[in-house]
Amino acid sequence: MTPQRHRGKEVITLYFSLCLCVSVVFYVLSSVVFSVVFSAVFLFFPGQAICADYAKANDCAKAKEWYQQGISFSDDSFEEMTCYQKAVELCPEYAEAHERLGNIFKARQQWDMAVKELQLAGEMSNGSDPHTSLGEIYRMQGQYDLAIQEFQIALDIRPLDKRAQSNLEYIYRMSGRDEEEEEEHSLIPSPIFSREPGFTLPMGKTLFDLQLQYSQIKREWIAPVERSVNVWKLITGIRYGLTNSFMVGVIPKMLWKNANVHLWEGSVEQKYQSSVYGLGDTIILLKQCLWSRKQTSWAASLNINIPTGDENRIPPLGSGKYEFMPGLAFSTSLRNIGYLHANLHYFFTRQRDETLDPGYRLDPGDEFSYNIALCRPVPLIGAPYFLSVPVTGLVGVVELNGVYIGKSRGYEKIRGGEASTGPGTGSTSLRKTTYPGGNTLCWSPGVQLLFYGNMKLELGIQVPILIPDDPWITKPVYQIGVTRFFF
Amino acid sequence: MNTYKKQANHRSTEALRAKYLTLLCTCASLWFICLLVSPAPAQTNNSQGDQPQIVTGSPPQTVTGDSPQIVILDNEIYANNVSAVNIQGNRVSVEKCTIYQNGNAGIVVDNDAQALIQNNRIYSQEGAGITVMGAGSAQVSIIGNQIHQNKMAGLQLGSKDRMVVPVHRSFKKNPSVILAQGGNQTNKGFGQISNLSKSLGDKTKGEDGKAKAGDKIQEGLTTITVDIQNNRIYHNGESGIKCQSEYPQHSIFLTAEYNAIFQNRKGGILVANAAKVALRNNSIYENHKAGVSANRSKGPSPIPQVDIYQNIIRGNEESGLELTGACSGPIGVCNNLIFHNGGSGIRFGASTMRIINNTIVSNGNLSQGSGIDQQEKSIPFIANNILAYNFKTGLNIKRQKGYSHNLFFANGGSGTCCDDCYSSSKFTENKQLGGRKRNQGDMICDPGFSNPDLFDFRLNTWSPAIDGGIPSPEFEDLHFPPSQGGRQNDMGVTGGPLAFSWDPNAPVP
Repeated sequence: MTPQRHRGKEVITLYFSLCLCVSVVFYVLSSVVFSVVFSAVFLFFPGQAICADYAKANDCAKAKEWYQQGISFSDDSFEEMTCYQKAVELCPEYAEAHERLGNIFKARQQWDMAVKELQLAGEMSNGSDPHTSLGEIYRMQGQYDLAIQEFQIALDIRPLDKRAQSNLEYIYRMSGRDEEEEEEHSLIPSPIFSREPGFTLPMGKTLFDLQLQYSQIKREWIAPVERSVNVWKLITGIRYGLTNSFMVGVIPKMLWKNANVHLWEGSVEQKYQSSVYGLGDTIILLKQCLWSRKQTSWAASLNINIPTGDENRIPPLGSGKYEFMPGLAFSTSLRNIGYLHANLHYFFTRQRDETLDPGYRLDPGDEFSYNIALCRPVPLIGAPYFLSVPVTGLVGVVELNGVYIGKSRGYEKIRGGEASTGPGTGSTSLRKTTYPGGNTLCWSPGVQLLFYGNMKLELGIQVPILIPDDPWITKPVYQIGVTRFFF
Repeated sequence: MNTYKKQANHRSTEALRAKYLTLLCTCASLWFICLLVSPAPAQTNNSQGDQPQIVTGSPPQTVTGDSPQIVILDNEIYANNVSAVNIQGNRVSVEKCTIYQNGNAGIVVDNDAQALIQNNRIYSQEGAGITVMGAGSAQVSIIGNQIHQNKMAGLQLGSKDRMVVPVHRSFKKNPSVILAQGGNQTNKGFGQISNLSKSLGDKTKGEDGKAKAGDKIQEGLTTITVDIQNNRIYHNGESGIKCQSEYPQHSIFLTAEYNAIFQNRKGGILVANAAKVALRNNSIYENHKAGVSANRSKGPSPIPQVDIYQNIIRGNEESGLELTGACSGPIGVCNNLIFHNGGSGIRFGASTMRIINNTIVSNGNLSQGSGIDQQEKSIPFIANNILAYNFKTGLNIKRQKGYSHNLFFANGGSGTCCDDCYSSSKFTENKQLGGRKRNQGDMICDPGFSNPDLFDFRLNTWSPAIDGGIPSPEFEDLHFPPSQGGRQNDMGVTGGPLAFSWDPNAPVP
């Protein structure tokens, strides 16, 4: 006799004794009717409930004994199965017994019975094991979708369920998908603004990315006249791994610019809003992996600026010159922290051709850019949804983007004693001028959402935190982008 | 008248004589019958060791040579303060007993004893199921038992500490229900022994050529020799088998074969300190830590030497084989099927480990776990293995040496490529080999398992693993089936001289 049963008996005895005493007292002191009503209300109905509870507790206690006896066999035998069947007969809500029973049917490959018992166990229990076992049955039957569903439920309940993790990973690889390789690669988080990690693409792999960027700049590099320009950039990048250590890429961009332009009509200054859009300069990317070991890689790159943009528009869409940006990039995996990326680029600017524009000669200073980024991936288990699309991972990105721009020197047209950037009529003269350079440092937080199908969505903001006396940019840059890997 | 009286007296005297005679004959008959039916007196001193002492009252057995001096047969022994059976310095057989709910270990083998523990059910002890302890040499065979739900290890070998009974426990019985002591052994303090049957059952078995008790592996080094066969060891509170000698100059020879060791709270088998361990044909699964863990303890104790072959090791929450503090025996780790473990399939340390012809599938979890994972720098010998679907990578090794002729597939998230086993992208190669390059004979392609969904990792006839191993006579296939193709080594468990055959649909032993 277990203590639980003892307690149950004591409670029942006490309750009925109390009720009988009270009934007798009512009968003696007041009326028969009242005592009968009291007995009915307090003795019969709750008594029935207590009896039922007690019987149930008693049955479940017996069921536990059967369960323990079954556990002591643990050999998937008929005897063990009988023990659990007795247990669930006595206590139909005994989840553990249903689970063990399901597992025995599973071991005997009686799939239907196993599914039924494990489903019952999953409904009754808060544990992950019934779902994992059920998922294994679906896996063994080749029903991967159902299996994935059960394993994900198991991982929602217990994210460290290693059996569910292992099975889920197996199914992801078996179900499909040759894209797994690229998917894994897409899971290597890359910086949002500096965009050049130390890794190169594997041979035959293609990466396509698209970013929409908005900024408001005070002065443009290709026409360093102080004026406010709103710039929308749509940057497309296509990169391809020619070999396992050498990749090429082409990065064209579409620009839409809206500038406040000062024009001179005679000696009168006119202010106009000038909007232009069109193809900007295109960059050709060449990148060679110098050294790679496990998750650490060094690469050298050369970006070649192709002047596909129209430099004569106001404001200009291109630089009008071929220019070269050699660089060095480094990436590594920091255990338990994430990925660290760093790169350096030097932008060799070239003097303008005086024969083409003898009256407007400006040599922008060289640029030196340096970036460091820390990307922290956070795997999301259970695939939460973002805009109805399941998200597999989340990456937090923090970057420091710095650029040092040298002084720009040259001549500019003087009209009426003022600098002008636009065509006009009237007398002109040339003035030697210098535009100061300086160091600009930006802090750039961002987030990347990883989706199934090798998709990545990224959002970032670049905030200037250190600007020179005569800054070129003072306001944040906003960027939204999407990346997709292809075979 | 007188004559009549004399005749009457004579008749009465004759009748009296006849009565006396009848009485005397009856008494003599009774005495004779008593002599005939009375049992022989029990021998209490059995130092000659020729007759077994039967505790159950079963007919005496005529056994000679290495036969046990004491047979404890078919008893139900429970609720004793310390242990059910304590064997010291004697040859004892414990058979077909049910031993449960004792205050410490179910059976204790101590001090130069030789014990055969066979076909018992040993469960729910406060300590280990069976403890082999003491500084002396001992030889123990543990065969065909069910050892489960004990609060400590199922089998504990090499223990030093004396048993301690928790103060709060109150047991009805005696310190040990049976103390089988060498020299002048006595049976004292019998608590409750209920005979379940009077049949003697199986005869005790002799030894089968294994290492003998008292073998010296070094001068002055005593040994415990333990042979564990056909047991089911499960649901214990610590490891299924804990083999850890706590005495200096003391070593354990452990042979475990055909056992099912599962769902133990602290791993399947734990080995530490000086021990030579051979594990063969065991099923070690679903334990809450590593399947087999061999570690070096603190101090100057030598590291254990392990030979692990032809085992199925699956579903353990940590690594399948955690051998970071062990060295390889002459066989090494061969022809094991290791799958679905939560950590790495095989994890080893600085020692030179020999890992051959294993099939290692789907080990690891989201944060860790490779097929084979080396922790410290050394040059192992890793060949002829199949490593597939492992999480972090297939082979994580410290140097570009010591491995060849392995087959990799879909490890480290590298996808299910490649059509050409000998050509793949660098990315894939990095993922499969943990950043290393492949060596001679290494392949990256589908191993062609029969039905991996059903955990059937046997090879299809078209598998590239067939005849893909090292082309050397030393590794040639000798058993067809399970080996296929020619004599050149098949990669995985079905290849090589120790090829291993199993039925994935067979019920768990």
